[in-house]
Amino acid sequence: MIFAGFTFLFRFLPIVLIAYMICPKQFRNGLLFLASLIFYAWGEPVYVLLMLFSTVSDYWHGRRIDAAKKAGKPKAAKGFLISSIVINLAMLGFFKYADWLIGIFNNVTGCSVPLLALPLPLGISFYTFQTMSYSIDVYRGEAKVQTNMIDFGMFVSLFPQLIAGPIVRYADIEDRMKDRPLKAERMSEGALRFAVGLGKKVLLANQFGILWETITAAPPAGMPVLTGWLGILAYGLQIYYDFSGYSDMAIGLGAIFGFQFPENFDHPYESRSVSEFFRRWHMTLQKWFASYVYYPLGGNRKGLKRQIFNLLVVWGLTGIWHGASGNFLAWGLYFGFWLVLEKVFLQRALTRLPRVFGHLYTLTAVAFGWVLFTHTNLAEAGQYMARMLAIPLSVPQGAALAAGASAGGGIFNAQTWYLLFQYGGLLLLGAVGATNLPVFLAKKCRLDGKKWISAIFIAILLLLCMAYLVDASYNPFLYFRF
Amino acid sequence: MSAKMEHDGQQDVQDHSKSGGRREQKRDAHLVGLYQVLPFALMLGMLAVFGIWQMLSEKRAYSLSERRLLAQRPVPTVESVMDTSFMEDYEKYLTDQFPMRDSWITMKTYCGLLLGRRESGGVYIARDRSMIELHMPETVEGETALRNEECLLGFLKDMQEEGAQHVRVMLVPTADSIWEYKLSPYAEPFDQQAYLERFSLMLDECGLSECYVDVWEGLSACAEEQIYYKTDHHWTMFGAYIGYHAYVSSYSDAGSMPDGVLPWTSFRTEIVQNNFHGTTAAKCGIYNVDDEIVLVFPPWSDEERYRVEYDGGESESDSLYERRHVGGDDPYSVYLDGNHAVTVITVTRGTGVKSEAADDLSGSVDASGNMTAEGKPLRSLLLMKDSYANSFVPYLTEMYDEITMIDLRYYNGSLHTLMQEHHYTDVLVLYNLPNFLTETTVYRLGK
Repeated sequence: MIFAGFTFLFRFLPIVLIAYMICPKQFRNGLLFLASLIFYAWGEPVYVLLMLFSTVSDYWHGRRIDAAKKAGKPKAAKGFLISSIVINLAMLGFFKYADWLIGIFNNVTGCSVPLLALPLPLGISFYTFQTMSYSIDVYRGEAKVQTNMIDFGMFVSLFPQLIAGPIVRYADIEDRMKDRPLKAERMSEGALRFAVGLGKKVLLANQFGILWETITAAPPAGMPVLTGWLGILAYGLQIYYDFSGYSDMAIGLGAIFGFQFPENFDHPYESRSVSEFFRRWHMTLQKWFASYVYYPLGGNRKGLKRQIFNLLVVWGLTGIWHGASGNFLAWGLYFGFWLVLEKVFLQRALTRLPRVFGHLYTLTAVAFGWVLFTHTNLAEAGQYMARMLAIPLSVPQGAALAAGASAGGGIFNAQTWYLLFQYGGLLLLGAVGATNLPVFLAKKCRLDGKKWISAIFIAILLLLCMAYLVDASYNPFLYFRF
Repeated sequence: MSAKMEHDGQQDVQDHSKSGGRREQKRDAHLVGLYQVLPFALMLGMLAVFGIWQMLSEKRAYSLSERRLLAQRPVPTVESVMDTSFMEDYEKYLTDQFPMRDSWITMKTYCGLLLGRRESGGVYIARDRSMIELHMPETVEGETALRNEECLLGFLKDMQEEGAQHVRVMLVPTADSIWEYKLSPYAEPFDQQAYLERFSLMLDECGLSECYVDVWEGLSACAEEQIYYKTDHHWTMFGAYIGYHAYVSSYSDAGSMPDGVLPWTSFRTEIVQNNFHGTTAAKCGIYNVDDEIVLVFPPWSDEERYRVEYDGGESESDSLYERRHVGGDDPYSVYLDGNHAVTVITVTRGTGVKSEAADDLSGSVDASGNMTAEGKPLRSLLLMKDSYANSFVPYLTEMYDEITMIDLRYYNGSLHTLMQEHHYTDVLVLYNLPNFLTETTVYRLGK
């Protein structure tokens, strides 16, 4: 089920919300667990068993680690921890990376090992990371062991954040596992957050997606320079609104059910350096890698060389976490490269320059990053970047004919202006919405926290979303690939 | 449920407030609790109300505005659940059967207009509120276009080899080309003028230049007129009149055709509907622009009797206009009852067989009788067409005794056999250009 779909909005969600409110407290976790399983099985009727297996496995490992620690057997505890991590990574590796690795192996050796061609289980990258964090936290003593199978199952499968994050560590919501009174104020804030997230996804991300698809319908070789920049601007806004909208919906639903999920985005496009950008983009993933990979490797405490190495490892992994493909690895390492540069000298240089340079540099670096991110074919990514840099490319003959107006490249053509005028209002809205300005203005005018304003806002957003959802057969969800 | 929430809200407030009389405080807290829960209650209420409304509302089988069957509630089977096709169908069902489906589309279009987007659902909303369907190069050009072009050329060459004299092709440009001045200066739809120029050159090269009917020139000269509907993708009766002009001109030295075309003003017109909302209005959901459905009666039609036979006798009529469609779901079907696989129009002139007298009256009509000695119609037309022909054919009755319209989208028989059996004197292929280039059944010309 996807949040921005009719089944979820007009069947699943109202039924679950009402059931949750009339359900006696002691059964609420069970109800959420059941609802989450239905939610997941709706999209993955077979792989739901895989998720259950992962749940049982980590529940058992958590208990064993805890028991071993209490019995004063640290080696046994470590053994169980390693077993848990190996099982999780093996699952992820098998379902997500096996075909990629086989492909590389075939390429290098010339063999032809058949591909597995398994569909990627929904949300596996998210829930394996969550269950892994639980085992590690129990081992480290940062989280208490969970002794109720249903409660633990609810944590793993909790539908608001199951498919696309934020990545909730067990320690984050430990204190809310049992005691979550329904609080009107919190539920209302959650509702507002949910409606805002839905609006981001349906009203903005999907529309930017259409613009991006229009631009990339023609081969990149003949694309005018400005069209290329317009396209990547649209894509950057699409992916931001798509993903942050999903996180908003998750956080909002979490609040309604009484949880407090960690924030995932903090207006990243306002950043003045790449390091800052990634402190504000998909924050829970960056934190996960920081606390489970970067710091255990030594972080910045073992000298500059080791820190650079650590950064590149983390960013290589971050890259392939987003997808099993060379371009994601390149995307991760590309940002690793910028982060290293910033550590070595760039950051210091930037602080001496006017602020605008920092913004320009960050946005440009991120824009080129998105080109890598979106083209699974690295050659096409190269072509796209070349056009952004106004490097002329030879246009294949057939393509020139088909592309019609855009043949020959150049700086701009009629389509550039047409799209700019058609989408100008929306792009402006998107750009302003990606900054802190709307929240700032709401505070300035003392509109935040006023419940009747929230209510009107929710009603307008929901009505608009219904209109756009009815209109759109176009409702793809980007983060399902991960 | 609400009682419980109110209670919680109440507690919440009581925790925070420390002053005020106990009873008063309780009442206020109650109100504050309601107020606190308002946004959440509203969201839940809206989702639930629309969900229940969807459940209870009458399910439609067909969407008029979208011209398609709507998804119905799927029945789950073990198989369809396991491969998730049931879930996908269920989502389609909810989307298709959502209450007030058409009004949402209207709302979306207006939101877009507010942000400066004049394009909605592939339709451009011009400043004069004409809704013009856009055909973009990437959707028009392609394999199908090349194949159809090839098929048509092959067909024309075959006809030439068989010695057929009167073969014509009319590819009618659509509103987004003739009315391009109404679009944004930066909109670049498929260039129909360039295509038609290239196409006519190609015919020249093949020695088929006499087959080409130049509709472009006439239409573009009248681009300021209502040659297309504001709310529909068809040409109007007036647009079709210009097409008729071009068609007759292409026969100008073929002797048996009328020498010229009567001026538009000499035709009697009858407006049968003035609130027509066609396909492009439906696509963007804007219904506050009205079009007229006009019936046209040329002077010669007073002396003519028609027998229109649809689909080999499945239904018959004595008029070219089916007035029962006026004010109905698809008013454009007034013209020759919309699309049929085969439509045969037989024209008899005068009252009974006194054809000579009738000819005297109608003046320019060919002076010979209706039938040859073998009882075959003297001049007959085979017309391969799409819906653009439906409003065009009423102008042709003066020239032909029998008109056979074939819609290749629905016609499965062999054209070859048909032509051998009937010995048509004239052949015409009439499509609107983008449809001709994208229609997947044009290859049947070769069958």
